[in-house]
Amino acid sequence: MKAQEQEFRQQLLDMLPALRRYCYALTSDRHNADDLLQASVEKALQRWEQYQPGTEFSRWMYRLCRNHWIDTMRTDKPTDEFEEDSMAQDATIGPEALAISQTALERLQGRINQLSDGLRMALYLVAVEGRSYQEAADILDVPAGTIMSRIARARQQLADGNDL
Amino acid sequence: MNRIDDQTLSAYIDNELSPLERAETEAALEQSQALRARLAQLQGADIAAKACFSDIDSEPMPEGLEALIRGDIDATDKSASNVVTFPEHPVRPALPTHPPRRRISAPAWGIAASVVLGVVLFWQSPQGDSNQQRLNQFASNAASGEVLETDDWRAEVISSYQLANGTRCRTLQQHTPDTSRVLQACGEPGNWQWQILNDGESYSTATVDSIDSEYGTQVMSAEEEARWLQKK
Repeated sequence: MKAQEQEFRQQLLDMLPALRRYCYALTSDRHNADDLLQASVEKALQRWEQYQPGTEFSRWMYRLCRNHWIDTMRTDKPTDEFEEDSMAQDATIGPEALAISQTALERLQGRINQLSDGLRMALYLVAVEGRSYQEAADILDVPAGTIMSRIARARQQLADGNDL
Repeated sequence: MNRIDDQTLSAYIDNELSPLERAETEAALEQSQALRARLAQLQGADIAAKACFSDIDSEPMPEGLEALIRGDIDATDKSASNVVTFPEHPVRPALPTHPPRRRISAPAWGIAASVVLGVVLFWQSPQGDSNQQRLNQFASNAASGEVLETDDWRAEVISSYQLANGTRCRTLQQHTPDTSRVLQACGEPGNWQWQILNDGESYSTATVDSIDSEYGTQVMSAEEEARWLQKK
């Protein structure tokens, strides 16, 4: 195995947990996330020579992963806006629900899953991975200003949606 | 900048404002308790997101994946029992626009919550709730370590601290016969914004440390705390 390929494989190993979380953010489902992770790793190993050493490895992998998700696995159309109606039925939960923390946690998971793909991915890259707006914009192929508005809307909808 | 909206606060959280905008935002935060509370709410969404997205870390990696990357397994070797070759098409439908709720196991949530402080839910208690009034009063007067016992519950102040944005908060733990939970009161004595940080099962003494690492907060000394509480 060439040294360059070994280095590629090591970088892939190093970022595997982060790549898995990225897959989870994309798919909103653990099983689909692991399927996407497996597929992305296989594709990356087949195409490792296409990676330009010196460029950001995680960005290359995220793009490969996202393209695979869009091209082969995802069957629903992308949603740009948050589906307000889907949350309306949850907005009347009373204080008694506070005692059932597990239920509340599940509801929160549901709310994050219900964010549109664009909002959820902006939230993941900026709030969880700590990337700048420009870095997130480069990964998602949108302007930095779009990331700025999406991350704000994601936080807004989560914060307001969690009022009990 | 005339108005500090959620997008500005969000960019402030991400350190994406210009120096001038940042200074204006900090000045506005200094002046407005409501704005500081809103900032804390938006920051809470980040904590919630970290807990949710880290949930998958509690699951083991797909079998054989790391060996595949190391080159111990050939992806084309169909005889390798632990290699799962990914199909070209979905093995299951992708999520619908409105995904059905799915149950997350309690242990998984506990692990995720303990790693990243816990999922934040915003608690606006009903007006006139005597228990809430007692808790408000207790948070406004008690030093860290003090305990309040009622017929129904017991509460203890864990610590007081100041977030990087200037917002001052207290963490309390409340126990009932059936459950425990960690609460955060932000604002000023007598005028608190309450949040539930997590349930008792996933709480650990590392909570304040986690807050520190998240937001660069400073835990108050006993003297600083006493001065703060006396200002009310």
